[in-house]
Amino acid sequence: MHPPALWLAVWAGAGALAVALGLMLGATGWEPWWQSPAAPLLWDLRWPRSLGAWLAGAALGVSGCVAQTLFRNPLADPYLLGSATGAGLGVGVMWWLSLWWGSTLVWSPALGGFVGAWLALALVITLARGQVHGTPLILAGLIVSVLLGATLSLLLRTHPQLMPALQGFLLGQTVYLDHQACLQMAMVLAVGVTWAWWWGPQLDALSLGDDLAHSLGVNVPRVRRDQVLLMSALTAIAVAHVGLVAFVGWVAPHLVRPVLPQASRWRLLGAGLAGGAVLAVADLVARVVVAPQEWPVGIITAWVGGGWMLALMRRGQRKGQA
Amino acid sequence: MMVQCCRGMLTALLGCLIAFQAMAAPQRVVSLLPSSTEVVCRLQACDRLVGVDRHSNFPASVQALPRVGGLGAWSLEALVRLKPDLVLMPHDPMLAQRLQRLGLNHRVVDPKTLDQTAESFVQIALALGLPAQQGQALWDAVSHDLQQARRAVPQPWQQATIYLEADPSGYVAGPGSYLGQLVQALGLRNVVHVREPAYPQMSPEWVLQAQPDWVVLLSTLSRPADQRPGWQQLAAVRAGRVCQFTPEALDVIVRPGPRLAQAAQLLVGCMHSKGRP
Amino acid sequence: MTETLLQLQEVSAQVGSNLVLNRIRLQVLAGQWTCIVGPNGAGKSTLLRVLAGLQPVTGHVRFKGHPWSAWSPRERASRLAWLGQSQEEDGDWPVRDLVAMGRLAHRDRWGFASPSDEAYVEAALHQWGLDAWRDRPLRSLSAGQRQRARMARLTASQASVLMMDEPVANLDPPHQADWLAWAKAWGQGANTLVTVLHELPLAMQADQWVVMQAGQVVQVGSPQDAATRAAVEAVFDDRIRLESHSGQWVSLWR
Repeated sequence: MHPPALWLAVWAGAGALAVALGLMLGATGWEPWWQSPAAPLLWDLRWPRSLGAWLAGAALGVSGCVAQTLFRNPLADPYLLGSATGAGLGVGVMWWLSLWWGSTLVWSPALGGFVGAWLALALVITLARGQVHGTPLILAGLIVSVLLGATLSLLLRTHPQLMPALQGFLLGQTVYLDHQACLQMAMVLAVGVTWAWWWGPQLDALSLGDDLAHSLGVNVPRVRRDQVLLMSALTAIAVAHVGLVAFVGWVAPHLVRPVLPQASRWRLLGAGLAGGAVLAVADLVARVVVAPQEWPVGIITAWVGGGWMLALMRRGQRKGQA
Repeated sequence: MMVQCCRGMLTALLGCLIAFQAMAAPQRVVSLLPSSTEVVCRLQACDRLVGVDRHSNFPASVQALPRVGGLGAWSLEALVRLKPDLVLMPHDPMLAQRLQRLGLNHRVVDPKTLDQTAESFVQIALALGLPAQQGQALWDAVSHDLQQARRAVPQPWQQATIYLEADPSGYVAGPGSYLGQLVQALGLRNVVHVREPAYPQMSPEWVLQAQPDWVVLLSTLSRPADQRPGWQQLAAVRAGRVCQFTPEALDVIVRPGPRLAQAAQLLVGCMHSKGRP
Repeated sequence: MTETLLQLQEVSAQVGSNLVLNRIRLQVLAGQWTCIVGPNGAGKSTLLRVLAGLQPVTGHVRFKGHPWSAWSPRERASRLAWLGQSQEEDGDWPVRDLVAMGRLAHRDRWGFASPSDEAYVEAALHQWGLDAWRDRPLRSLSAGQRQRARMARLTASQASVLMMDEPVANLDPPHQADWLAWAKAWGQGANTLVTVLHELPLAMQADQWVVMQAGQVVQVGSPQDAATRAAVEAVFDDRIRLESHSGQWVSLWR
């Protein structure tokens, strides 16, 4: 069993490689940007996209790790608290507003997504009557997801011209990432990871049960509330910029679980690095596989994530039968 | 001698002005809407097109141009590589923001009504550095053909009610939509009275009660009218007054562009072939 | 004169919609082993949780004269350690990491352990004979070893007040005897132990019994007093009898 630090380095390296390849591969296959006549533009296009994909994947990975700790359930993913649907609705509303006020767009769609995610969270917390744990929270998250999803569907029904553009968002897309998006995601990720790392040992204690954690000196309600805030902030910023990418938040913690120690600090870092690598690679594949066209990156992650879930299930079944 | 000199200077000045205008005018145009592509070509600027969207297919010369994706699935890299100095785009806030941040000149031309279509001809002309009159002249020509099509509507079917189905799931082109206004320009009446939204989704029962004179199916995915449950109640269906079109014809009909008169003619042609009093 | 460590006044506790504790008045003295006994459903576990400051109540709970709310989480955790009844969620943790969690309240701002923390953890592992299994996850150990690991967590915390709910429920008799030996040795100093035990012969070794029935404290006294033993037999509907045989106390069915 390799030391954990080596595994972190492996995931970090994979991510860095994917980002570097993203700078070299483009709509016509292998084409380092400096060799193209449109060099400055291609550079402006590629680096925010590759780096942005990594940052969004890292945010979703950390968020997924926090979600699985918060709900003490390996099936949890960061979209459970309705923030993803809220972001989708926020983006949809921004688009709808732009139909009236023109597309010079005073407000950016990403801002709508971010605000929408937070409003959804506020709704969830209110519905769960401030109970920041377990079944009430999941239930509230489900309800809010369904309600906001229905509202978004209604918006699309009455304005079907929004459909093609919003579809890209709902599947997850990295094509619009720019340097501002990278900056925003990097800031939230830095703050979020620092917070989560600070509270690592307390999160470990919390995983043993609320009573035990309390007896060990953990301020359980406050740490739980902060977990929910962290999860929502990371999910919101990622979804606002790349849309509802499937599975990255769920699969990243699972990728690192077998090889990293149990402690939160390792898991969070590992999930972040793994999530970043996964989305950066998925972005690369999405761009290259049917070049010069592209697929939305969410399709790639859904296949990978679904395949992984299938493999996990089969392995679990075999273990159960053994 | 003096006159010759002045004439020479004037010619030179005019030539400079023309050259200057040509320099400021975009020479590498990417069009992201099929209707915009058709307008650019009708304005004799087809040679300036360097890239089009996936759906642009008319005139035939644009089919050889590089494609940069479609609505909701743009290939930004392909677009950027073409180094355009003008991008004619539909309403897409995310794309607009990205192009702006990349410093690419772009113009939103996305007509949704007949009036906006008229405006779009002028907008595209100006964007191309051409005088506005050229755009207006194009519209005048198209409008004239449209009037001719109106006069060609068979006598019994002038002021007929028409049901325009845009989508098999029941979306109908209402009077607020481009198609709705097109048929209104032909003197026909839309069986739908809802102005907002432009494409309302009407209940199938309502259609059966409304008894339109003509049924026009505008999607290649539509089930044939006589195979739908309950539609035998429609007099129009029993009499065969149902218009369905080939994909090529549908391309002409749904695009708010310079071929709209041809679209009107296709509709009128269907009425001639199917309508017997 | 032994000081009062914990004081409960008019304490009532609700779990869900049930009133589990009804206006309890109780004093737990320092430096003693107090054992809470009684039939199932009497509220023993809830009382223990109230004493440990884990259960919201109406009424007053004072630890060393101050209500639990006046103690910061770190202060509380460095003085009192708690072991609950069912501890199934720790299965994935290696033994050493679980024991190290006992030192959580002593870590610095950044959550790093100091050398003295490490020393206490090592001492606890050694004391409970877990050196060979330090890196193994808990679920790969036997029930007895798991319980020893949890006990090691408590001793590593160096808290002077330990509260345990059914600490020997899953242990076989030799391990129960080991635990008893540890409890008696540990109680020698100024340490306080509060337990909930069903094994009455084991509980006979305690200094003080709190006899409970239906959310009320029926009797407080030493198990050496006949009155206390009679109270226990009464709360069990006289279906048991406590008898002494050659110096050893046993619990017999009637």
